[in-house]
Amino acid sequence: MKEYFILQLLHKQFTGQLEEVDKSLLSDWVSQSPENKAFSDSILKIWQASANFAPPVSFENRTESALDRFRSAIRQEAITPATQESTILEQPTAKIRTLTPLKWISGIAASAIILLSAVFLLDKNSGDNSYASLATLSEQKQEIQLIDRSTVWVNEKSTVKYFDEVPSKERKVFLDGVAFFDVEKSDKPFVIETDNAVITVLGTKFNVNADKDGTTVMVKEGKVQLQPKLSNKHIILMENMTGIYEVDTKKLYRKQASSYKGDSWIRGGYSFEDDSLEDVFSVLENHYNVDIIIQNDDLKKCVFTSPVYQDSTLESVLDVMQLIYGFNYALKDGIYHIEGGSCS
Amino acid sequence: MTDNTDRNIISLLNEPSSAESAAEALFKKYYSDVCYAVYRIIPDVARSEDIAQEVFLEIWRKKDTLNIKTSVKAYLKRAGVNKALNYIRANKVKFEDDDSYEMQTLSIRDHSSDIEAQDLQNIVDEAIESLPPKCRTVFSLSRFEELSYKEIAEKLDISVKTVENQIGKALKILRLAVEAYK
Repeated sequence: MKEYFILQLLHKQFTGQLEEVDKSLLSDWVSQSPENKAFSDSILKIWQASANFAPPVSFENRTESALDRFRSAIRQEAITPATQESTILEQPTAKIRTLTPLKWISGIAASAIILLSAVFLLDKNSGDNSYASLATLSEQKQEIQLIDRSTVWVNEKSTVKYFDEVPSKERKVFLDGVAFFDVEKSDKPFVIETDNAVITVLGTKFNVNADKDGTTVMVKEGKVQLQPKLSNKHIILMENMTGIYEVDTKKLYRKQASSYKGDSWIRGGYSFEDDSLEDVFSVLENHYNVDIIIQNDDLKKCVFTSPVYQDSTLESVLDVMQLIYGFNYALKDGIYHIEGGSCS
Repeated sequence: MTDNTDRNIISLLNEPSSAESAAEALFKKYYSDVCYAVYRIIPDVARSEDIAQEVFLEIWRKKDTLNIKTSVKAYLKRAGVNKALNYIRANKVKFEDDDSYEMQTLSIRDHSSDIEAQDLQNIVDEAIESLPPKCRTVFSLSRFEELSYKEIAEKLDISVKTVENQIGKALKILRLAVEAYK
């Protein structure tokens, strides 16, 4: 009975569900004896090992025969083609154009080819309002003019779902990835929903970087509110402020920068002047829409000054920094891990 | 984030001329991933394969209105997990009645000749595989889908108390399995 109870408390601790009242109960029990401590450590080891559970069956070997079954199933389905062409013709209002770096921000490229290769879908089923979606490919950026005359620049590998009719209440946009918003003033709030947070503004310019691990907002002008979805706390962000919400630690905080770099990816170029590596890496994350993890906390505080990098690849910039700071970097599961290194 | 090739496959699904080969490419690439995601929750090979077939068939049916916000892989695995949960709910699997499994589970591990070769991971893998089915489902939803007690309770239509009990039981079985090899 007792053992079950302790196991349940430990599990709650591992999964962040331990209530305040039980915290001291558990820590008291653990510190009561070396045996208790050893017990709790061994359960943690088991829990950690269980994350890598590999079942004794191989589904890879079964894929070929399963594919035959799937093939015959889809051939039996009646095919009702809705071509991409007709989807575009139905798209009435929002203007989309492919961005060629450098030119498009000035609007010169306004006549660039529409919809070069973006996946573009209309979704008429989302409540009262009508939404359109845009997903960009690797190395592809898109500019969207919304019908309220707000502009959204969408970075590579990102998905935006946006209103394409005048909304009755709020102007709602969904984002997974990186986008810069220039929001036209209106009395209807402009709301951006990410996987884990909600951003509310009236009229302003700011960048959002959102994925399942968190949401980062960098404000260029005006006032922006950032609120995690599962919380009633929020923070207000002003000019040159960065607001960050981290899903795993549930931390919500803000930082003040001396200059604005949140839209570097739109222009294709960026430079650093005595910026901390922590800030440098968050600019790079935003610019290339990648995740970067710095293992070494000391490295975060080092300062970095650079020439202007124009249309450089991430690897070429990391290679330069690697020479200076002596860290190693590796791409693992889509995340760049920075290991070791020091300021000198 | 989804990689380039996945986005390409999804966009090719929209064009009648390439739809079938795109669907097959997607199937080849992720079929086993979906099966594993389902199998962790429902330890039944045939059932897992049926559910994975349904996932891809549904993608095929919805191909013209597909709106994938996460990575394609994550989307497909999630779809498999949701179908597995629907299956459990629809079949009204009872979550309180399998206590008799415990002793049975422990008596399985008597091939102790290769203790040295067994590392913790192997023992834990084997113990998870031998968990009573309902216990396994609850444990997997916490471990691999990272659901809270409340979410698991809601998805399986059981009480939070039952979730807690099943979790306690799962950890106890894993602990005893590891203990047996010491």
